[in-house]
Amino acid sequence: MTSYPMIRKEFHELMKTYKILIVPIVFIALMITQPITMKMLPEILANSTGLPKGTVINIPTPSAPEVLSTAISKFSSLGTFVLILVAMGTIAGEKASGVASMVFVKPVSRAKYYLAKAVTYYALTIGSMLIGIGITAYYTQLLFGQLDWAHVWLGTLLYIPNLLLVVTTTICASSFFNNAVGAGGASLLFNIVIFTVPQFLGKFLDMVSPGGLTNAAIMMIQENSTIAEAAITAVPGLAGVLTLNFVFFFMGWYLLERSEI
Amino acid sequence: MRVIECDGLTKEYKDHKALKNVTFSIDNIGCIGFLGGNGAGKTTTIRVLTGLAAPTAGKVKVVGYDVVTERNKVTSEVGYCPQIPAFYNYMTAVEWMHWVGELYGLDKHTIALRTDELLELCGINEARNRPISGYSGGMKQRLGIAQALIHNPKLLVLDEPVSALDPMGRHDVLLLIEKLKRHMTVFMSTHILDDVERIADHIVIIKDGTVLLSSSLEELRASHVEPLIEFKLDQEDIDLADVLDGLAWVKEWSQDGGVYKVFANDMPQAKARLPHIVLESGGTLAYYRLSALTLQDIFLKVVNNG
Repeated sequence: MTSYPMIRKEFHELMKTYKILIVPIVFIALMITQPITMKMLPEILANSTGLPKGTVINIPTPSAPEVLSTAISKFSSLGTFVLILVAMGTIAGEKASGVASMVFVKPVSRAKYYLAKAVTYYALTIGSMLIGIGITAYYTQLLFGQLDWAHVWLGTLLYIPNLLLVVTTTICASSFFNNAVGAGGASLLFNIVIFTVPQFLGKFLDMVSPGGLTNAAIMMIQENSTIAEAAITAVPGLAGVLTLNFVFFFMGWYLLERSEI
Repeated sequence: MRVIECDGLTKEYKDHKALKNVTFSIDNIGCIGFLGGNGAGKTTTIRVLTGLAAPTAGKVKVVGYDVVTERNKVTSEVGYCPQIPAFYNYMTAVEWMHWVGELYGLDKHTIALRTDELLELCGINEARNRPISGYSGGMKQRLGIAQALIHNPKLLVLDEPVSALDPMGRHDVLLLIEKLKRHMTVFMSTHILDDVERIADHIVIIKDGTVLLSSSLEELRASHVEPLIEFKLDQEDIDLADVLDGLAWVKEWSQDGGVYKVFANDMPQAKARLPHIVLESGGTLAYYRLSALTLQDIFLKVVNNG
């Protein structure tokens, strides 16, 4: 048996459960609010009550790259949460419901089952992020002026491994736990720690952490440096995050192989 | 070739030993009734036979393949329906059957043919294009059996296959198993001894993780033949206790709701004397028959002695 029926079934499931629509729409909603809010900010402040009469507030208009990079940094926490919610039950839920035992009594290796899950959620994440950033960048350009699209796409590609790490760790937890809530909770806790703590543990750990990669991606999108300079800055973060992805991918596989279904 | 061969199968979990040196073998087609009380180890044994759980110790071969080292070959030859089958509820029965067929590597034409045939055979053809989320427990059970048969397995393992079914459904599924057992080995765990007595050819009884008995039903009956006479009086107020206790040819007796079961030491004498004893006590017989032990009697006897 090839992996194809498993992968096809996973994509079929994304469509039947509307995840293939929900995730991109949520990603767009989370990111696009930033340029709209920033555009409307002067009017919001002008109409707000409680300010003394005659108050003058001068807000410099941000550049389009600044607005887009803010959109990504604001998206980080909620985007992580959404991905965990979407992926936490993918294996744990099937173990709890008994579907996993229906699958594993057939000639399906656990490796293929696990790989199909990971590939599908990686594709959903990458597709949703590209759609979300594409539409957000388009609106940012309309409202705040020209963007360099090479910087936008390269910055996004640098940021994507962070989202894949959220997916990988959630699927890994889903392999270990027998219920979706436990898997989601463990993944959330881990991602909060890995995205926030390294910045307090010295420059090196900060650079190779997901936070360091986010900074490099934002640097690329802000167009403050050349593509080459930003790419070099991203190398340690990219190496660190890809290593973490690799480690947690295989740990999840190992846990699934060892678990009693 | 032996269909099932368990040699010293032991399964330990952190806090308890679920199976202790389970040894039995099945070497023919037909229906095997796997009997035991709650927690006896039936489902754990089935999980090992289907490759879902690995044995802690012992050797287990299914259709000639080792369940640990040749798991893929085992799963290709075994069909399994759990006690409560679970599905991807957004799928229809046809979608599930097609997907399962693909997992077994069947071509599209074969899958379509087998799907039509099996959904019809299992009585869910009318619901074939409805999402499984709307199915009743009985319909899911039928679909569970249908999907377990799509690759025409050599061994069909059914865990409590009729427990979720209404009387009609139970009747239909038992008929289906009777048909299937002519072509494959059906290994069926159940609590319903009447069903096993009706369709099983071989019995395995397990208690506290240990196999107490593995025998063909025919041999089992032959080895448990006991001289038993069963009768009922029209008059429930007549008590034969004192009379029966005083008879040397009565080995033991019991009475439940006016029905007497008398085990005799000397069957010819019992047959000759009992009707007279009833008449002398002033009673009349509602019925009187020489009785054989039911599977329930044998099961209780084996389990209680084990």
